[in-house]
Amino acid sequence: MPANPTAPQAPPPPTGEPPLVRAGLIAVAMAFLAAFLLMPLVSVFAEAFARGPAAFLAAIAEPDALAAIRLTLTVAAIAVPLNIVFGLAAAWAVTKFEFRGKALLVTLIDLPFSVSPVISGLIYVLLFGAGSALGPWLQGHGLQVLFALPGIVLATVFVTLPFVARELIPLMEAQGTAEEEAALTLGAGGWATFRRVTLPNVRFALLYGVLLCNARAMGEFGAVSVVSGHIRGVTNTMPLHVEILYNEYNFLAAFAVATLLALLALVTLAAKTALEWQRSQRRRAAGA
Amino acid sequence: MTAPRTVTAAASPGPGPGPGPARRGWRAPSVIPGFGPTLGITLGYLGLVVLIPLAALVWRSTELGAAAFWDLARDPRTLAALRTSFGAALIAAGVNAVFGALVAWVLVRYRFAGRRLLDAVVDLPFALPTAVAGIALAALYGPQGWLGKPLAALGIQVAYAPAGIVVALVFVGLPFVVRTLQPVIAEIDREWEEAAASLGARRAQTVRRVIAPSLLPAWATGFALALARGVGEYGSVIFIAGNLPHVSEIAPLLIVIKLEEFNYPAATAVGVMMLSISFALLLVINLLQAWNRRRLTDAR
Amino acid sequence: MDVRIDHVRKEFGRFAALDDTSLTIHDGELVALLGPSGSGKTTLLRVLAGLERPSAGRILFGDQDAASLSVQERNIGFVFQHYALFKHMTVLDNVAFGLSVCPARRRPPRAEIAARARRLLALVQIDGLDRRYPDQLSGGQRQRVALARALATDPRVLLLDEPFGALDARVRKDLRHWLRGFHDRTGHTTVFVTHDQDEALELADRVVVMNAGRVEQVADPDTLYDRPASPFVFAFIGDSSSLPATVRAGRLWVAGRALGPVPAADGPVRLFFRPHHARLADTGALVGRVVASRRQGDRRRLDVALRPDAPSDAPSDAPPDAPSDAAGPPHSADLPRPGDAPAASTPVEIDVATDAAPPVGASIRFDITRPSLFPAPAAPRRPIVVAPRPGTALAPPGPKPDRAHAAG
Repeated sequence: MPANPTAPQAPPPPTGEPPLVRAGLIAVAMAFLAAFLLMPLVSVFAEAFARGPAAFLAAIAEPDALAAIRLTLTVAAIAVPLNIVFGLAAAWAVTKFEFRGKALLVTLIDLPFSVSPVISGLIYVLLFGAGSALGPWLQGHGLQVLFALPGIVLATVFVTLPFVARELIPLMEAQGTAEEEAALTLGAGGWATFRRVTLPNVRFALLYGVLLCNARAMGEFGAVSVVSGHIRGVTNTMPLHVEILYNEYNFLAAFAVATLLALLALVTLAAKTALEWQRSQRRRAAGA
Repeated sequence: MTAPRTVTAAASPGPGPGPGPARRGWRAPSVIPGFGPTLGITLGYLGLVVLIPLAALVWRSTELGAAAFWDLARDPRTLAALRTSFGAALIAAGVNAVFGALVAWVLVRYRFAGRRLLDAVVDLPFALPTAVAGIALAALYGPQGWLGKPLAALGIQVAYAPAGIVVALVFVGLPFVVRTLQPVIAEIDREWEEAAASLGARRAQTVRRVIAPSLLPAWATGFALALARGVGEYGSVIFIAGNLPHVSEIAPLLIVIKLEEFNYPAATAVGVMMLSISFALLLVINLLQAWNRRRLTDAR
Repeated sequence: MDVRIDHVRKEFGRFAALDDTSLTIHDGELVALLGPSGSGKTTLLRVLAGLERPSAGRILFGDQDAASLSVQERNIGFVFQHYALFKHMTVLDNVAFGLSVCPARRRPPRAEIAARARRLLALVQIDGLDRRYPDQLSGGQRQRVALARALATDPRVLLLDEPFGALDARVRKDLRHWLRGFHDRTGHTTVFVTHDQDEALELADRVVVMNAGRVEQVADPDTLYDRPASPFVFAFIGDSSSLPATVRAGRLWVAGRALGPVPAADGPVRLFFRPHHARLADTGALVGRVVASRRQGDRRRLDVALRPDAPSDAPSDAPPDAPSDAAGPPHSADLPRPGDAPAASTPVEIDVATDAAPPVGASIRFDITRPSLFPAPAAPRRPIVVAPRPGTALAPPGPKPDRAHAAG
């Protein structure tokens, strides 16, 4: 803004802060985010490559590390699709219909977020463990849930259950039922209405929910730690493998595996930013 | 990544698709198909994955009997762990309330180079696995770390001390405060600030008397969300905490230790107490969000 | 104390929202800033308030240059279009806000602040609602709270941005009367912004018509309506039609016909008239066809498409409905493009008595009892004047433009 040439000393602007205060606030915010968010992220990579790329690669190519990567991918490949189906069904039931107890149902869907990850694991230990009613029966039939893949999957499903549903519910709530009703009057069946009308409308929110669900499924530590049994090369997921290596003072290897998880986080953030950017572009295009 | 978002079903107690009197029984009639199957999947899945296992926890704790439960609950180590978890989470939520509000303000109100990057980075704690965050913070704030070394020179020990727990919980809790406040700050009517100025209020008075009160519900919600997350946090804390019983041992870790000792009753007791705290916080958060929503929707 | 706006200019980026605006607002006056959206009226109000800083020029409160005064120091009362009431404060706290934030040495004691706020609420006639929150009030009540809040600091000037814009029609009318009465009782120097001409004409002592960042005319409502100073004001205030015309040897020519002598120099002009300044007459100078007719109050309003030629003079091969360019008059030197008769392109509006209203499709003749002339636009995209032909002037010498009595 050109300054008023006739004003000897300009009064402060009516709203907003003076430039100096503004610069100070920005500096404090940047310093805070750097100390608590950026520097930890950078330090992961710095520690992993402390002794060069060769050492890094060797740490990742180690058989136990590869087994952990395989297990993590397997768990995510089971847990994420399950929660997608659940999320879509729950969002449909909650947003397209009015029924008593809906608020309670939504609270229940969110419940896993309010529970400590360790407790999420603990409940499965109590349900399937030695002292439970189910434990001996499972053992008698040779079914291993705890300290095996099924337990890890269950704990992961529990902690990642709300992600897809809670991305979809607000959006589908806002979109209402008019388009579905229009499709029905045009002769579309229920499934066709869902696939050709509802799903395209929510595809970005769904994608975002899936990304978050996947990131958490691959990165979950507390719940999985309780149910896994920490058997090297068998029931260790990547985060658990990081813990074991770290506790053995094998920092280089721990951080090397950690970089893979950090990369996953960065990809998730980048995808999220891209999705938001696209959404804002679409809004702008719609507004113009 | 638990983005603090308003639970919307509760937000629309208003009329459904049909007019009020048409509602028969427990649900309003609707022409849209699929109610039975989708609600069936939802309830069945929730029941199997969430409700039955949680019921197992409650069931096992009642098996203990009141006297045994009381003895376990009064164990000094348990109480110390709960105190550590709750106290550290409280302090961390307080730090986040101050700096998170500042970050949210800066991100919404100012335009500067790197703003979009900072905005994206705020979500990092949602995306980064807690174990990775834990070892990264331990390395960063450890005695040889980039920040730990200068701090140690000043006589401040962060890692392997209660302060380390707070640092980890600040990390995991920050996005809750920032993401709850950002939309509310964006909603602040510029005209309020202009009106206050035209009535003679200095900037500081406007901030204190007009802006801060209008942010209060969202602020409290963000604080409570960060607190709830902090109380139950495990992965990012255990690497940096030092885990000294009675000093820097958090409640979730105590559960893990009890489980490793196959002391299921003790694990159950601690678990039930933590779950009670979580549910109390959940209730508070829901009330706060209802308050927040009222503030937002009643604008004008 | 007068408020003087002295050659003020305000740019937003490269867009000049205010372009060299000067205006004096007298002590105790009620002034309306009227204009279409984007005319700069709200910008002017915000510059007065100190919410925007002018790019050039001065604002004077009495003898004091306001340039060095912040909003806080100007002591103005500003009522926002959507009131901007603090919704976390009660009505009483809203009104008391201005007093409670003034510097400690000038701040009245707490009880005194509350008492003054209550007196103000009584003044705006919403006493008894002090403990309510803004959300619990109707639009009209909020408006009054906003007014009371703005008055609490005893401002030198009261500024209102679209004060009735957010209200529904009936409340708006009531509140308009009330505000006029309120001003008469309290005598605050008041400036309000509106895009509603009825509001401006009914309420204000003087109206400032703004267009494209400039002041078009400043006048009392009667002068503004009866003697608009520019084509813009004529078109903006009240209903009107305009026609291209030309002055030739002291006579006004429209659509190929002479209307009568006018005191104007020769050359192209733009003719403006109001619908009720037209009169049907068998000997009328203007000839046209009724293309639409609608009821408006106790009159009928006709849309009339002008025909450039009188039937007696028109070539016989030109039927009444033929495109007007088929019957174009021979062009003269100042008519570079033949075959273009814009006078017939846009219908003009005239009011007639309901019992005398001709049906749609009828050919009519009428006179303009009170024409107003303005210079033709500087660079017309096409010729706007149809050359008169000698001998076609059928009009009786019309009355002088500013002497005529209104036909309706």
